[in-house]
Amino acid sequence: MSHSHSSNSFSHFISTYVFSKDHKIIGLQFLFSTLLWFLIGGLLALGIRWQLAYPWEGMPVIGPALFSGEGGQISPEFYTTLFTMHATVMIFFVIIPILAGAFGNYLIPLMIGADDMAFPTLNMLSYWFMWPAFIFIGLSFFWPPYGAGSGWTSYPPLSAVRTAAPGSDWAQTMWLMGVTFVGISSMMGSVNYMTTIMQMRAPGMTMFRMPLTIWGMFITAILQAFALPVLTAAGFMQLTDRMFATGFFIPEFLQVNNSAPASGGGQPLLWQHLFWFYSHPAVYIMILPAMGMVSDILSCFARKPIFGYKPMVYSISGIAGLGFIVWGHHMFVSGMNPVLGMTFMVATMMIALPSAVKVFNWLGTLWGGRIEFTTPMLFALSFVSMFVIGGLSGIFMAATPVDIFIHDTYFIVAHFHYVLFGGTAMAVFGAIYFWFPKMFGRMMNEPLGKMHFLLTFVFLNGTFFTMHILGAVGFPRRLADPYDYQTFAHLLPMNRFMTWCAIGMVGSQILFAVNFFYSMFFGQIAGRNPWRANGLEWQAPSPPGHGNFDFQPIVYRGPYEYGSPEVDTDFYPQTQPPPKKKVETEPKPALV
Amino acid sequence: MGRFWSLLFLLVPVFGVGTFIVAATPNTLLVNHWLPENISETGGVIDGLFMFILWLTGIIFIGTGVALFWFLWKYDSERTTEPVKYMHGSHTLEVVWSILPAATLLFIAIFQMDAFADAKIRRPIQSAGPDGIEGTADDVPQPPLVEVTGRQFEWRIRYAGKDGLLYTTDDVHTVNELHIPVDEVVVVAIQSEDVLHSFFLPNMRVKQDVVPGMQQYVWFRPIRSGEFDIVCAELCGWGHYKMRGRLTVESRGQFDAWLQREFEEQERSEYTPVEDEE
Amino acid sequence: MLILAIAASASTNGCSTNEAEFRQNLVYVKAQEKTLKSEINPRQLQDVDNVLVAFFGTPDDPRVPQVGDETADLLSQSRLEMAAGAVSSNEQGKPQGLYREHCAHCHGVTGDGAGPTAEFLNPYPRDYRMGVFKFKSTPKGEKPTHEDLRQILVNGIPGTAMPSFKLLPEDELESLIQYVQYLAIRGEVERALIYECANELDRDDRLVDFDAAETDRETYNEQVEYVTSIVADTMQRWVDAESKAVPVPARPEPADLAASIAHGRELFYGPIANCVKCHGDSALGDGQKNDFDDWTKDWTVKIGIDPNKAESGEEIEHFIAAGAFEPRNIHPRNLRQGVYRGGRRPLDLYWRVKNGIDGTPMPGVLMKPEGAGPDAQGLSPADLWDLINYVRQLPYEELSETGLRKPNFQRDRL
Repeated sequence: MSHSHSSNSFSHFISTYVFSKDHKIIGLQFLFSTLLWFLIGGLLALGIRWQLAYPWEGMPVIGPALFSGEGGQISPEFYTTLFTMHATVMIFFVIIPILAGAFGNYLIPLMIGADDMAFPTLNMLSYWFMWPAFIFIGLSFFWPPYGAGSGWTSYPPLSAVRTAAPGSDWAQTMWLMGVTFVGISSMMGSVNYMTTIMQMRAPGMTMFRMPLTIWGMFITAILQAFALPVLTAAGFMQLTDRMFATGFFIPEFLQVNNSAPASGGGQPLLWQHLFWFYSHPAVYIMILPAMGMVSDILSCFARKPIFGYKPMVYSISGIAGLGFIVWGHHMFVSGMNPVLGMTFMVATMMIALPSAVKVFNWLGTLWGGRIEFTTPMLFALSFVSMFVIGGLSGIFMAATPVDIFIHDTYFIVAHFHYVLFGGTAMAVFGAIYFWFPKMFGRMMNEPLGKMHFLLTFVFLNGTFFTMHILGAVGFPRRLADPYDYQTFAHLLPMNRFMTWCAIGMVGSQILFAVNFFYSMFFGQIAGRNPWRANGLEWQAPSPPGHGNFDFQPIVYRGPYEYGSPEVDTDFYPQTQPPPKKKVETEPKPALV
Repeated sequence: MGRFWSLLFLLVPVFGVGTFIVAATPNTLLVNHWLPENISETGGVIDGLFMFILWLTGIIFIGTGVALFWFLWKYDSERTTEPVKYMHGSHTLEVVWSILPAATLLFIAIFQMDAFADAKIRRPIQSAGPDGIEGTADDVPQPPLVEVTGRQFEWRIRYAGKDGLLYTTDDVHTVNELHIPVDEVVVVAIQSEDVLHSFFLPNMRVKQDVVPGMQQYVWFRPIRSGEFDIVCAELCGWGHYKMRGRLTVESRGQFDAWLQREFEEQERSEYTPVEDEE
Repeated sequence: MLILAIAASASTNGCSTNEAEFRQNLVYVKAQEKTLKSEINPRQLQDVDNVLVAFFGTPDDPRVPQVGDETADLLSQSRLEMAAGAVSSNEQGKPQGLYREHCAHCHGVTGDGAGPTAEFLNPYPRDYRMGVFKFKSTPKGEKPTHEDLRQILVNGIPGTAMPSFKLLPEDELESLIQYVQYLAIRGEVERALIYECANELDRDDRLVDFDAAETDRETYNEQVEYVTSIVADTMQRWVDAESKAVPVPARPEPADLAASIAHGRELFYGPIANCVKCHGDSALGDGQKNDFDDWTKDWTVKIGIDPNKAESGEEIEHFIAAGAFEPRNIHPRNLRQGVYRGGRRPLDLYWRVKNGIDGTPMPGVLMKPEGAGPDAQGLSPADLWDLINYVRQLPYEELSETGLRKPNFQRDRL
């Protein structure tokens, strides 16, 4: 490569690292973008926590920068922008793209033995369509008159009537455009993943020999393909409501903040139905790939086959199927027909079942293994432990009478943070530690990684477990200053405790950042298969070159044959031919 | 290190259960960090369900937490001498741990339907209607005592006044101040003037979003007098946190007297300046 | 690194944040300069600031102006301290910084009606600095009484973003009322001083030359005495207002309510009250919609800018850059909605009609002189009550029903 001219090498750099069609580069582009947004989302969370711990007292950094005339005290609409943007960034720019975009891209071809995605150009576009979304959401932070502030759920009329809130003017339009572009990007990705998984598996890679990660990605892609159009349509309807007064979601004659009466005729609840028809499946989009990756990590470090592979696959599919008929459980007190609420309650209770089956299977996997406490394993274990909490607290919400009381309180906040942070984010950390050697050819530092795990784990529980208690008191979400209520005035000390835990939690991520960048350049060289794992990706070079494999992988068995009596090693790669059978036609795969 | 990590995971159920116990039992460390005082006749049902689910999930939480700890402790690769159990699952176990939770969950779902119907579907009736049978379509619903309207950022409250009719000249208007008589079934008409709000009475275990263009009702039977909070529980804009109302539950006599006082103040027409005492 | 910065400043408990400041009334300065066609000497404006600090202190350290015994009881130092400053609570758990907790988001730290949230609200929050308040018991042009401000705080202003603060404890309410008075007085004094600089002083004169305290004692004392008299006069008007509430005779119980309403209707359309002119033929508040309130007129109409004209745009931008808000027309009230911003009591409506509404085009109605004959121009108190009876039943007329949203159930007996 050194022989090319500088102009050539520049265009070479652009086509290799910027507008690359290589799924691994695209995966890494997604990874770096989402980690950056993860930092932004985390800092926004600290802003929320600060206001709840020291209401109206000067907010560090932000106060002097934006509210110096007010003595650093933030304004209430800034608080609404903080939590709106925290959720938007974390959901649309971190969790969904890091699972599907980063790991989906990187792992799918490698784990099924393909040389790339089915549609490399589409794949590249799916990343570059995130950029309009980044820009639009970035603009919606501060587009005058004010940043978007009607919550990530954007319930009309608050969001759809321009005069209803400071952030409901142009910023909300930007926000809707941003979310639309995220949708376009995800749609491109999901079409690609489905096609690749259906069509490009290596010889011998039957559907039931696929790692659970791939199953998670596959089902997620299906979910996205079916649910996303609804959100996109709903987003467009809200856009036209705002731009052309179509009034899909606005009742007639509605006047907010002494605006001119709306020429409505619509129903605010319609938005909620459409929004949750996407956003409930989206909850599973945000967890199924994580469940898959955790299964792979658990099996590898328990040195034991996954317990109940097929039930696991059926559970993932069951969750996905049921996921389409439970959206109404977000709307038990919304004014939706309560009889319909009962139907949704039964479906919601039933969706807890496959999740329970998965937890039992993970425990079954650990039982009787030889557990190696590596950093990825610790994160995967914490996923199981935290997901149990998030799953069990979900039962409270599924129970409609109980939900009447805890709806829109911190109980809900606790629940989804246990699922999304305790669950997905911990799984993502585990996945990064696990597949980092494959991505960069170097190991991440173990002691630093364990320290990162320990601090994150402790602080995460300190921050989020206490939220259950606040929820039991009825402490509502999204209040800038709840302490004027006599019911909640005494909860300030507990909120301060949570805030300091949250600061600790965000602070501990410095260890991760240091480890990540240090190891990228100075980590120990990894080799092809540092974890002695079975998956196809571990047979490729680290990092894999263009086209991934330097041999044609042929698959002989499932990915979880650890401790098999057929071989002397405690792992048994999917590509390794069985010892007693003759391999006739295929060339010998070159093993490490 | 395996021991250390196993114990760390054991701390999850220990601290988790501990936190709930400390919060739920009377002690000096966390005062009133539990369900707020219940003042509704049916609120106890919701509390009971909450506690029932808490016990149930608590047991599963402890069970899985301890199992996780035990497996990590026992099968730590640095200590275990047993060979890896090479197995791919157990059909029997899968069936057992599918059917048991399914049955439990279905039970919870059906068990609570009645409570939900009481809270949201079976609006109290005034009389059984022409056919004389309660529970049929022609039942005459109990009319609301008061109408509460959410607007950015306050609760506008309208009582029917002496003639018992809303929207007549003798309606009594208040803001953020809801009085209701104790030991009577009260129906409140709730609506919104602008955006979504949620009428939340924590002590009454009542919560209902109000949607512009929709007329809705909540009902309850307070069993205790006192002053309590009205909370807005649905994001309604920058001043969401300002939507605080006060619910006063008092005896019928006090309630009538208060309503009369409010009406008289509303109809006040005379003003004579107070003479300065100087 | 941001994290570190946040953690570091967090450990100092927010001490690193700036102190809040009273903002200069730049819009008024610009308006004066436009009339004057030249700039006010910046040194004089600095003098204004110095004088204000000397009398009124700062947002974190407010001071009751000491200008004589007459006005000494109007404001109390401890009340102001409770309302001012940053939000916190003292050792006894008493809340501090009430104004910034409850009011400053909209009304601004300065009381200029330009807090961070202000420009999104319709109507805009009140700018106290003209010392003009709409809903009060005193005649037009007078200050509101303490009780008037209290009513607004307790009941809020229906139909606007001003919420009710009924649930605040009595002592907190009292602190806030006094702090609003304090900010209003401060704002009025600021305007008076700026006016002084623009119109009375020569360009090289000093308002108060604090350096001269040592060198030229006599001039200094003269200057101080002069500004003190301005502060004292301003405060005196607030003290005087307390005894100026307009008495209201009890509403006679009409023998024939229908006749009273019919008479009221005649007056509504008649030449003396002439309500129809602005409130419109159907009382929907659509008689005229082009006027502005005095807070807007102060920097537009009064100095020859007509915001209704497109060519004023550039000049208006100039003022918006200085801190003014986009001018909005003030609309007469739609009397069929049953929303009464200044209160729905007959008493309130009587004051509104008799006194007019300060700061708005709503005039006080012409009253018959007491003891005048039936031919005298104007309305008698009995006429006024008839008019009010008519206005109060407007929301219940058939024509108004859509505005009231009257679903079927509300016809039912309770």
